[in-house]
Amino acid sequence: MEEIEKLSEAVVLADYTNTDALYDLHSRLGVIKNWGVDHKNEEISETVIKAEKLLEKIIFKDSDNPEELLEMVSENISILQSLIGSDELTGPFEETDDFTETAAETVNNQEDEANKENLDEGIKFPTKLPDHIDQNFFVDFLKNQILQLEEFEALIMGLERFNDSKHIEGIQRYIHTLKGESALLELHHIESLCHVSEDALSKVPAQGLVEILFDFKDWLGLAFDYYAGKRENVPPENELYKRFVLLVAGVEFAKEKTKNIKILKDEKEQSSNKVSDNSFFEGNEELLNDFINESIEHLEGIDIQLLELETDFSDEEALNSVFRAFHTIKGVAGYLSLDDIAEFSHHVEDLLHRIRKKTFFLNESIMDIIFDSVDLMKLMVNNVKTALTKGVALKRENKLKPLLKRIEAELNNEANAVFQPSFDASYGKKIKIGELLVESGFVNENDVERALEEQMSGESDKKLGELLYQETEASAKEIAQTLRNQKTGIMKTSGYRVSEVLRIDAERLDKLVDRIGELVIIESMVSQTLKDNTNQFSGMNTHMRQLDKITRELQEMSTSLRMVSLRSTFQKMARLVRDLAKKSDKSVEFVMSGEDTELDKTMVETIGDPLVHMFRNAVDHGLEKTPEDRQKAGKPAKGRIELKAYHKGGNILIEVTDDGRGMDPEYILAKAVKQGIIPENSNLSNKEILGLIFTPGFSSADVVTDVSGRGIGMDVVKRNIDSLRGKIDIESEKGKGSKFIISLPLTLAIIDGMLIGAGDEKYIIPSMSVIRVFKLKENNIVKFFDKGEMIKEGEEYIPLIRLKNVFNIKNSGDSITDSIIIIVKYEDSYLAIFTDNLIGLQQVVIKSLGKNFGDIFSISGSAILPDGSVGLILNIEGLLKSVNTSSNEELEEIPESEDGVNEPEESGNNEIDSKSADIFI
Amino acid sequence: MDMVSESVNDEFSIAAKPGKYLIFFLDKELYGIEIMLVQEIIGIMQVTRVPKTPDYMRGVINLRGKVIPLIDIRIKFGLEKKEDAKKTCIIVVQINIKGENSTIGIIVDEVSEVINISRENIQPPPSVGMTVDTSIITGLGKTDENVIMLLDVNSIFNKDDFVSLREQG
Repeated sequence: MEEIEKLSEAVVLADYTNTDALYDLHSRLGVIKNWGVDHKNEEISETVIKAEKLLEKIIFKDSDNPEELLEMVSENISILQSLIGSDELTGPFEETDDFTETAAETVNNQEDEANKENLDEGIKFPTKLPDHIDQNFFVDFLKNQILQLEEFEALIMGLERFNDSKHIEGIQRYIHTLKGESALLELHHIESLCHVSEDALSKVPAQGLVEILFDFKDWLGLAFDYYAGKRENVPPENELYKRFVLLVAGVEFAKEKTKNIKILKDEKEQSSNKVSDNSFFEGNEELLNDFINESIEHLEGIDIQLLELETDFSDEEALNSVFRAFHTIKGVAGYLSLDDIAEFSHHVEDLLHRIRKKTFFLNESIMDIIFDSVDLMKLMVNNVKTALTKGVALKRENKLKPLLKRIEAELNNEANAVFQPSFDASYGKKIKIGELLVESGFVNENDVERALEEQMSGESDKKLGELLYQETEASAKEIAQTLRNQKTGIMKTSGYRVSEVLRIDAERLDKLVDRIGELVIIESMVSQTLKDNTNQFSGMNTHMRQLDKITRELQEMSTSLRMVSLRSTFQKMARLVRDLAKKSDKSVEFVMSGEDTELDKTMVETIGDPLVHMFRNAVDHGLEKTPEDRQKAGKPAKGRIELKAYHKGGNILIEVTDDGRGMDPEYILAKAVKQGIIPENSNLSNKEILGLIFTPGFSSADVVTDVSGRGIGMDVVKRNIDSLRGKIDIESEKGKGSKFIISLPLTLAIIDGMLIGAGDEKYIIPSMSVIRVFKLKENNIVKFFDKGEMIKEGEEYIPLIRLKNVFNIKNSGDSITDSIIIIVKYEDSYLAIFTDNLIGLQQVVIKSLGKNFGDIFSISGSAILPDGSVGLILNIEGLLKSVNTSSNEELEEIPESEDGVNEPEESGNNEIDSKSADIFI
Repeated sequence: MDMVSESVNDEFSIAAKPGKYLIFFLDKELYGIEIMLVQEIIGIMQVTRVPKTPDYMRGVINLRGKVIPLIDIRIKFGLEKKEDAKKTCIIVVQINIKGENSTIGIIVDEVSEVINISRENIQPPPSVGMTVDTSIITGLGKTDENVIMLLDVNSIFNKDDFVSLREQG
């Protein structure tokens, strides 16, 4: 083991005056201790703890004779060296009377070897996981951690603000879980940091830890990013480790100057103390609950994997999954002090481990044991559940002992070590499993047929056995026994995929299922009414109305499944503001409200970036430089930044408000002119001027920051929000502060659309952008040279496009009287669209045209129309751009049109409806 | 089944893999697409034209709620335009365009059958004398009566001109 070599080198070179070297020693010892704990080698752990204690004494100058102490540390380390050395030497070939012991040692040694590699890699930060760690497991871990990191951060912020036990406990729980998981995955640097921070939490007043915990969280973020392949490297953990140790020591040193420095408590002791007072129900309910649910999930999973294994003993993937499940259960059970479960899973794991290492071979009787173990485990987990829910004492399972004995007996069975089962023995006499199952009476023919159908239809790529298992009452073991007779050993499924997971309220799902039930009822009512010729129309109308209602509700509900709350995004912002304020030495009060507002998942993901930009601006530039400046302006010294989310008129509004300096329109205008973004003498409203900060060219920091205080990356903000079909408004008053209002649609998927016809084709215009629809009575369209057409609307001229020309549509008319004009608006520009007719209003589900059509100008997507055809959705922005590039710079200069200009006749909604009614009925 | 392609002789390296091919007609000529790429075959249906796209882009269709683009492969191959007939159908293929998995419909005159083409029946594509662009033909498959042009669908759609249609308009 390389680490111990390094350690002994380091201790020889160490000088008691060189604190850094001592810290280094301390952290190295930590690694060895973990290793020792991992291998249940108490001797090693104890020696390390001794050495650690001594080291701490030296570090905190708590001794008159540091030299002597260092000597003792050195001695301890050489003991360690010999301990570890002998451990390595205990070879598998050593003669021992007890077979089991040798076998156990063999396993241990193999584990050691694997771990040795990992240890070395762990210190150097592995780029790749060791082979024996399951990649999927790791991926899940990462996914989970990235989510939980947010919670962790929220907890730290809570701690900073409230300093109550609830938050401290939350933090402890998080760190402890992380420690366990990282140990399992052999991410030793994370583990050691967790350990030391846990220690700090138990000894140092928590509020003093906020800063370092934030740093720890950030470091974890980097580390997870690194493992997820998003980063090249991670800063070493030593720095943090040192800071933690120093904090702990500082407190202890002050506390117990006269006494010996307290021993760093081993986490095992801690957790067992915690539970030994038999109060593991209190405070741990949530954990226990999670454990129960997870275990049941794991156990269900195992059944399927075991069936897989049953068909093919050499299926390592299946074996690994089973092993993993037991391993996980063992880990959590150990932490929760469910000793029976932990011990039992340890034994099963041991058995499986040997099979994995090929020192032991699977046969049918072992398969039986594994099946029985799974069943027993289920029972035991259930017992925990009963104990938890009913508050009764945990029942001990009496089947436990006999099964453990069977495992032991099987492990002692020397014959196994040489017995190599032949997989091909029964190969060839293939009997259909369905028939077998029917014969053996586990399932009836209908079940088999159904399963077969499902398999054939390609809806499921599962094996027959798995299907039957899901569909019938037959237990996994029963099916396995049947499968044994079939054993073809040729089928092999690929590994399972890891897909994105979304947490959904069970309540929402229940409601959805309820509505679907109603849908089924209405469906049958409709078909019944159709069969019943009498009274057809009146009945039908009612049903259709109900059907319409249910469909709408279903649609709303299904979109609500994708809704997630803004809480985590808001929390991130809170942290951001806090950090920014610290960095720029400003004192800021951050207020947020409406963080429970829900938004489509994609939107929540996209909105984060713009918000970051906006807050950065608000803190860096929005707020006055110093409290004095603020007081001079008659404001409280503490700056105030507000983040608000709420519903308004079918939209979600997110507001970012600061009470800083505000923006100076004159300055922005001058800058914009200077940069050539707008021509000189432009006559713009204040709102338009503020809008200029979103112009891409405008956003360079050195231009505006000092005076107006805005303009970093604001074009990015705008672009992101545009992509969500939202809009952003600014309200700002010089000297008083600014307010950014982001308005987002509730969902990305569904819009209200206006269906229009042009020739044989149909297009959809988002109703949101439609201002007016009307028929021209007389020609008030004017042509300006060759450049394009305009229509007079009130006192203004609006550019007009004829859809048939833009899209080359055949069979579309030019007649003024037969066509309609639709006035649409995008931001502050208007456009008149000339087309044949208006078909109706329609809610449509937006479908992307796919990557290949990605950026076709003037089409933003498509939707399925009621007749089953595809309608294209017009992109008003794109259409406007095309108009602007072709002409219409000189909007103001257009001469008043000829006489006979009439006010166009407006058509209200009634006309639209009657028109659409004409077409549909 | 061995799916690794090997060169039959030293001069030509044949990209076409032996295996099952879906055979279809264009102007009496036979073409083959690897069956693994084919998702389904459907009859011609109502097509929505997408303005401002190249002419071989027939438009989009509603495939059970999914909107997929439709390629008129005759035009793409430089063959004459032809009215849809009774036997005209759409082969729906799953392809990979510049790293993105896409579903695309290809309009063909007629679908014939699925046949197995073994390695020894695959020859390198001729470099001259073809009615269509030969770079997308990965090999010639021989059966008793016919010669089948084996197409690499992925490469058809990965040519720059195809992808660039998104910049058009």
